[in-house]
Amino acid sequence: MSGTATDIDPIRLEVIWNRLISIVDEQAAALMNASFTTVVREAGDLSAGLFDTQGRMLAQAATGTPGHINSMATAAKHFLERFPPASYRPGDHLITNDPWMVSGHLNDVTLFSPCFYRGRPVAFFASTCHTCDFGGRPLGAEARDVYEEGFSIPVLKFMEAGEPNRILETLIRANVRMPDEVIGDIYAQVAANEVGGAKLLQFLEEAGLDSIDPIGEVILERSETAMRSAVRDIPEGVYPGEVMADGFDEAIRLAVTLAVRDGGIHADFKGTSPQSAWGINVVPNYAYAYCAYTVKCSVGSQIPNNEGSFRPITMSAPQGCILNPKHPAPVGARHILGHFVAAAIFDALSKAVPGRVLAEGATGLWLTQLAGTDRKDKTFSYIFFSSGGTGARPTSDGLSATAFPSGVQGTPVEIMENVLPLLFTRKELRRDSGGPGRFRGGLGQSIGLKPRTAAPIHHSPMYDRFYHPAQGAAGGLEGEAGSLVLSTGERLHSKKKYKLPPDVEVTLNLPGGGGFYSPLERDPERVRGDVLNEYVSREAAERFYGVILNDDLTVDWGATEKRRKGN
Amino acid sequence: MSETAANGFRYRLGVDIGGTFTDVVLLDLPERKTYVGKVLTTPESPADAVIQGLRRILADHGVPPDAIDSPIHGTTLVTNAIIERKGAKTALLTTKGFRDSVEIGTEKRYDLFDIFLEKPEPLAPRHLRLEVAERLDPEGNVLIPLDEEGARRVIERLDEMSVRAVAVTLLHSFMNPAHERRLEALIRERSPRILTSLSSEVTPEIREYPRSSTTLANAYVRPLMRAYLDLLGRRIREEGVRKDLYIMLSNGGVATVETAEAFPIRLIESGPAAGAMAAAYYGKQLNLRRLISFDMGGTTAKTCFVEDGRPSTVTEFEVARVYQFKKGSGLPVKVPVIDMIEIGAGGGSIAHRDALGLLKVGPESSGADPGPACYGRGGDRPTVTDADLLLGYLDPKFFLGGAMDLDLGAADSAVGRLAKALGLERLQTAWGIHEVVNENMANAARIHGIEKGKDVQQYALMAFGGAGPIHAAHVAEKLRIGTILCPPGAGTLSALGMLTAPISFDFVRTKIMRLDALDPQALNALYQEMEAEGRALLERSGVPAGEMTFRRSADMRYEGQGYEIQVPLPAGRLSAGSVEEIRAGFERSYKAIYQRLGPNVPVEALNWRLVASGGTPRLDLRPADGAAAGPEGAKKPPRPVYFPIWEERRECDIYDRDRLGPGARIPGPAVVEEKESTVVVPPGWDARTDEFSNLVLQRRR
Repeated sequence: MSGTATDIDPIRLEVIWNRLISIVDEQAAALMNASFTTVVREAGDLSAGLFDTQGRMLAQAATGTPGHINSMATAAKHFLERFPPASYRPGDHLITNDPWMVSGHLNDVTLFSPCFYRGRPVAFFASTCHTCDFGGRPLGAEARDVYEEGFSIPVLKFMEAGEPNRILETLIRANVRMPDEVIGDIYAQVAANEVGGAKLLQFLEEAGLDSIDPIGEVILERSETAMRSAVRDIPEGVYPGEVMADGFDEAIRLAVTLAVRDGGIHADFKGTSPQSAWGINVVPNYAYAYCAYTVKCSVGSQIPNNEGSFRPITMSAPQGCILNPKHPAPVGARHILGHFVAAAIFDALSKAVPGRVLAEGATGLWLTQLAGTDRKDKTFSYIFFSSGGTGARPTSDGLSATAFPSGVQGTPVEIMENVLPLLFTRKELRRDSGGPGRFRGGLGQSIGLKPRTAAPIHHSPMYDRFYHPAQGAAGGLEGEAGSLVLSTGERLHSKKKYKLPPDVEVTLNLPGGGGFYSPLERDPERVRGDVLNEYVSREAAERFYGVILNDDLTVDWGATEKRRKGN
Repeated sequence: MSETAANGFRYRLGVDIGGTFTDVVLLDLPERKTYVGKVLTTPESPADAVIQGLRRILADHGVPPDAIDSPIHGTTLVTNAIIERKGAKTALLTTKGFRDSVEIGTEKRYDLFDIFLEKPEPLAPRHLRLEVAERLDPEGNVLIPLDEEGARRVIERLDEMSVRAVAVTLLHSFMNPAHERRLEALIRERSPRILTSLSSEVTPEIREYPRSSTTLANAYVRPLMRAYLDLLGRRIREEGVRKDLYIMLSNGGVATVETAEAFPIRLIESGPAAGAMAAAYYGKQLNLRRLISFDMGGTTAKTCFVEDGRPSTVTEFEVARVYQFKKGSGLPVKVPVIDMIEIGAGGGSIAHRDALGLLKVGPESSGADPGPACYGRGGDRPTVTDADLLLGYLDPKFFLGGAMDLDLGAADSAVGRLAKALGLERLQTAWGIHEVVNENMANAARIHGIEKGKDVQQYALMAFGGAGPIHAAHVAEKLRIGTILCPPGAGTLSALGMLTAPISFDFVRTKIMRLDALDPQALNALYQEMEAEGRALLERSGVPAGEMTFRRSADMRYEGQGYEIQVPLPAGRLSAGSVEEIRAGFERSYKAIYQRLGPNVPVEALNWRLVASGGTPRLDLRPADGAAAGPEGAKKPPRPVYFPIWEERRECDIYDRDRLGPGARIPGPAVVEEKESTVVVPPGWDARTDEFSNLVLQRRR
């Protein structure tokens, strides 16, 4: 019953398609449960997908983060270039962490596994997951080339016909700081891909299919058509957009021109700053991931992720610019500017579909890498993620301390204090950090921490928006900038590693999101509520919102009206 | 063996308050008979309906109130109070610097692509979240002593703001509750009318966000539940019932009113839990070691794994989701609950064509009003029930036993419109709706299975709820399940489940310990303490010492992993020699989930758990009256029914379930009708009635 591409009815297609997505969800669940890395399980920094025999992505797990999800789609092609389908045997598992092939830095390891049915490969399963350490410098922005950033694995077989490649495993173990966890994660990925494979075989048997290629063809075709029709909701035209970021030692400009035509959308990043000498460069794969993601947030968000739905969205960036750096450029902290791609795309889209964009938010996820030696002389290396505020929406406030465009989550303080010799002194929302607007930007947060060690610890910050706060939209005002401040009063660089001595406290002030529309249009009762809840100070209520409150925190309507008119 | 309960009472009574109906079920132990009554729920004063239902059922069957053993009560009031935000004005007291943990949450968006999503609002707004200076380290040592002066000032403010309830959640308090307890004492000193909930008592587990969220939810509903349970207990006593009221918990156990008043959050899922308990009961009675309960109603379908007569439980739950079926969009609650997945697939689920031209079903539901198109109440969008009617699975003249006529024409035109949009035949579309909703349910069960490390093919399906038995066989085919159990009374099974629940209490302590550095002495002390608490609570509930059981487990993982699996622990005194036994148990559970063991990394345990329970009530199924008989006498007039291998509707045998004697055998295809539901026996399946009037479906080999 291997139906051809055209004769499948919408019911059978729905059932099969649904099942393929369910299979990759099972694959992702198996990986999350078995992973050894906190950021995979607690933060969801992973992805899982199913590919046809040509390496075209057909389905992807609902969990994960855009940087991995969309970049994995292109990775399969690289695997198949090195190892054509005929060279696989059952039980093979390929591996790579090449930043240019997958998701942009060495810490992301991708496993790619063929699935055999009746003696021939019928599909491939891939998974990408963030590993806690991959040798070289601890994750950060300060390497001067990719060789400094860690141990690099070209496309190789990690397992061949079910037998582990002992040489490769030994090499990896010898080159990373936490060999048990790293190897444990790779095995978790192998197991997850096997779970996917086993479920697919079961399904093929049940459905009486001997190949998923014909149905894959239909899935890609339908998705592409649907995405094209969604893109047609954007008026045809050419829309420029840009966003400014701190970068490492000089400001970075991401400039984009969106050309919308014939149900397709092309993002050209001409005019973007040149590549950096520091590890903040973004490989095109990763930039494209956020480009496609942002378009889908705006239109077509319900269309499943697969190669078909990506086809109508294309991207180009001049060679040698920060979104298309030449090897061996350093790329360790690629996520920061990768996330800023979303802001540039929204800026361009705001000129075409103003009701379907966000104001700028904190944008770049903040990564904190810590390493050192505890009081029992044990070394530690640890990374955690935190988020500032998202930009306001055209219909509602931004979200406080919430990741966007990243899809990962934070780690509980109690868990971190258990695994790290560290004391958190606070983790709270920053009053007045949300950009004022009729709809307010989300608030950033302040996180205070102090080593509980005998010796200083290394802190590698990967932060941004110290000098370029999130801009408001359509008359909304900017959010508060970020900063990194010691209890001695010293203000630190956003991306330079430094030593934090015991008993000195450092505070991470994460940026707030920008507002949407003029703050003078915000309902005074909502401003009153914000003051009552200390999201906004009484002074800011008066200064930005033109709302005067009485001492019992009720609105002084007369004075407010006068103030708003006078403004 | 079960002539009367051990303590001499002849009847047991269960009361379940649902959204629309309050169900009352009465069990006559010597006769082994159950009676069911339904009255309309009285939302303004829920106790009214309970009393009304109680009076009616006692009168109907001539039962004196003092012959009833402790009535058992389940309710969705806690869930509803949180969803509708009808709890008390509640404050949260936290360690200085951490009052926002309930608002910051996980920092994650629960939907990657929806830029307009909203997060659930914390039950205490920020101005009611206050801080006190104090600090513990991860081992529970005091780093900063509690600032009592400051605390007194904060408590004074609580009083001025006329707060009714307070949740106290301090960092690492599960390792050392001293500061939380001191705060409770200070609050009581200043204003005794404020009800306090401590995180170290409500859920003493690591991870501040879920612990705070749970404690806050507990505090939020406490004043309301206390008033309600006090009133209900008093009114039931006034009716002449002598024994104390028991409350059904979300983990399938029951507890005293006293416990329920202190920890009302543990009641959160007590309604659906009862359904799973019914499945557990049948599993035990019929010796089915592995069951999946499949409860499909009007708007949702719920499934649960039941092994050896015990439903699987988890310690995490989400309440009041912004999007009903979206994980992460609700408030996390860490209490033991029966592990059920619920998806938006029921008789009322609406079918439509999506942007890709595919046929989708649910999660939107037509609800009870207007209901499916065939209800004839103005609904014009095709639902699962409409499809089931067109396929011939339902009889338009015998819906709910004939209590309601279904409008075949309305169903036909609703499905017809969708068929046109899809470019398909009408009947093909009806089958498509049936098929797609089955696929959705099967997928959900499969993913749930892998998360729990279970192979669904090894299980039998127990189908109930109004729509469960209609869909069970086709869902089973997708899951490669060969046996289906359909007990009689599909619609009131949950209420019966309540009567089968043992009294039980859950305990947990967090103590992070590597297996190779296990400290048996510390563990023995910890378990001694928990067991003593459990024994005291069971004693107070009237459980004889001989019937008490204590089940231990630990949440374990390879060091460095982020999440734990639950591993059963040996009973009795632990010694250095227990390490290997525990490790073996861990490896067994791990392998069951991931097919292989992890790398050579030490194993550690985080939480140590104990379930203390009383005996399960003895309650045996009653063999059906009447002699074994063939099915001929139960035949109704045949009608056209659709099955995919026929590709059309053909005349099919229809049976009246009430007239089937024990041992009757029915070869599929057939449809067996009863008042509350209909059992579809597709081609390739056979059905038989067992001695307890269950219908058992078996797939032919």
